[in-house]
Amino acid sequence: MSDPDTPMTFADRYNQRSATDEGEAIFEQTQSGAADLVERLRTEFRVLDAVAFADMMVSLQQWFSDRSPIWDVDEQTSGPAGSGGAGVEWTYRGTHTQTGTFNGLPATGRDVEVHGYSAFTVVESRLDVRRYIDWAGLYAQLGLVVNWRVPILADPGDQG
Amino acid sequence: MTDAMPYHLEKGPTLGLIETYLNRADKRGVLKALRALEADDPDGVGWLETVLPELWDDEAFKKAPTGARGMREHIIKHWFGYDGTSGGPWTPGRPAPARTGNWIGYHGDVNRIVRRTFRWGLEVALGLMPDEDRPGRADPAAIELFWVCGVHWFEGWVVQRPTPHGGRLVTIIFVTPAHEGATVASSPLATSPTTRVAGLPNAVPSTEDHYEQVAFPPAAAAAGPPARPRAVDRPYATWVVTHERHNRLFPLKNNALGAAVGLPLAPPTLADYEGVGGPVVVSPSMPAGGVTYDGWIRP
Repeated sequence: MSDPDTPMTFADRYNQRSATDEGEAIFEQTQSGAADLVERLRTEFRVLDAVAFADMMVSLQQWFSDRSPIWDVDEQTSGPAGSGGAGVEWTYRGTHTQTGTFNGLPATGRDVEVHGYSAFTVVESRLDVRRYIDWAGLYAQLGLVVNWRVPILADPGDQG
Repeated sequence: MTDAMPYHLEKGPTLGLIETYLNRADKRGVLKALRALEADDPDGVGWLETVLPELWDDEAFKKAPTGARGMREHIIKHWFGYDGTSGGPWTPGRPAPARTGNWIGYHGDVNRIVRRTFRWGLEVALGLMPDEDRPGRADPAAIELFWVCGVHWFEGWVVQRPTPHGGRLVTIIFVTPAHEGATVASSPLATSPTTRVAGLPNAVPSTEDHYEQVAFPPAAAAAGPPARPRAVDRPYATWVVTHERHNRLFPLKNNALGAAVGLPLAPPTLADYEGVGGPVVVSPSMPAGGVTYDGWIRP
């Protein structure tokens, strides 16, 4: 369980997931020399899994407390992506316990399951990630609604 | 209760007519009928037609494309979510998770909420608790009606307060989810001569009769017929005070832009608006959900 007062770092989270002490070294590689790291992500699923986990946890722990089983990945949809990247589809489970950090929401205490896909590539020698997160699914679990009154222009001449 | 609601708050012609007949009627008689129908036919929707029978004969309904009968059907089908037609029995719609009527993301017994709201509003106007069967106040409070659209679920609000000289006013506000086809104008300022415009599926603010923009010195322009009373002297108006327009701040197209790993995310807020200009003070035209100067809905 993460402690909101002492958030775990990327390296801590990498070590937590991989059960190794490679976290610091991996984080260093994300900042420079990421080409070698991406090659490992393409070929070593456990590294890809732990990097995606560590990256997402840095954000998710500011909003949620982890709930077992915290994390699942789908190996069928994970691995090499594109000519020089790697991607992993993941599921995170937590409980919304942190007040104020998620756009100011009070803690709802609700269990949530967040689905997403993280794609890793190299940009200017650092590891770049694009996180495709099912925000609508998360918002629905928190009870938020989209306002279905679509704003339109008042002047019909501008509505084309 | 029209399909043309370009503002967040509406009275408009239908609620205006219901309000007129509610205040014109013998409130004690209407309450008695509502109480009986609620007890004897809890799922029934006949109360809508019977408790204010003269309402539906008003010539103003001839302006509605489907007439009074079509407006009743609209309320029963699209507000209450009932199945059927006026010629046959009305039955409650499908159970959850099917949506009720045209309300998006909502299932509930709107018929009972609306009927109970009117009942409690009448009871407050008459000074009667629900279990009291006596005439009530000889001079019942006036009742006014409004509709606000675009919230989580359906609610009826009954607001009571004293008015000068010993009077009382009861305000009923229906607060509802958004409905199919719902829009809201990003500016309260009207440029169109009509609310309905050929080729547009949505209603827009209009400069039709009873629209008015207040002029604030030193430079603002007013919009309103000069023969009308001053804005502050209008017997009836619904003023909205807001920016001249609302622009999308960040037309968000991609929540997955590339970033360095290990950096905290911010949850997307979907649409962010920036109010620009003004503030302006506007009373919408009656067809756009406003009210007439004198409170009358004319045929």
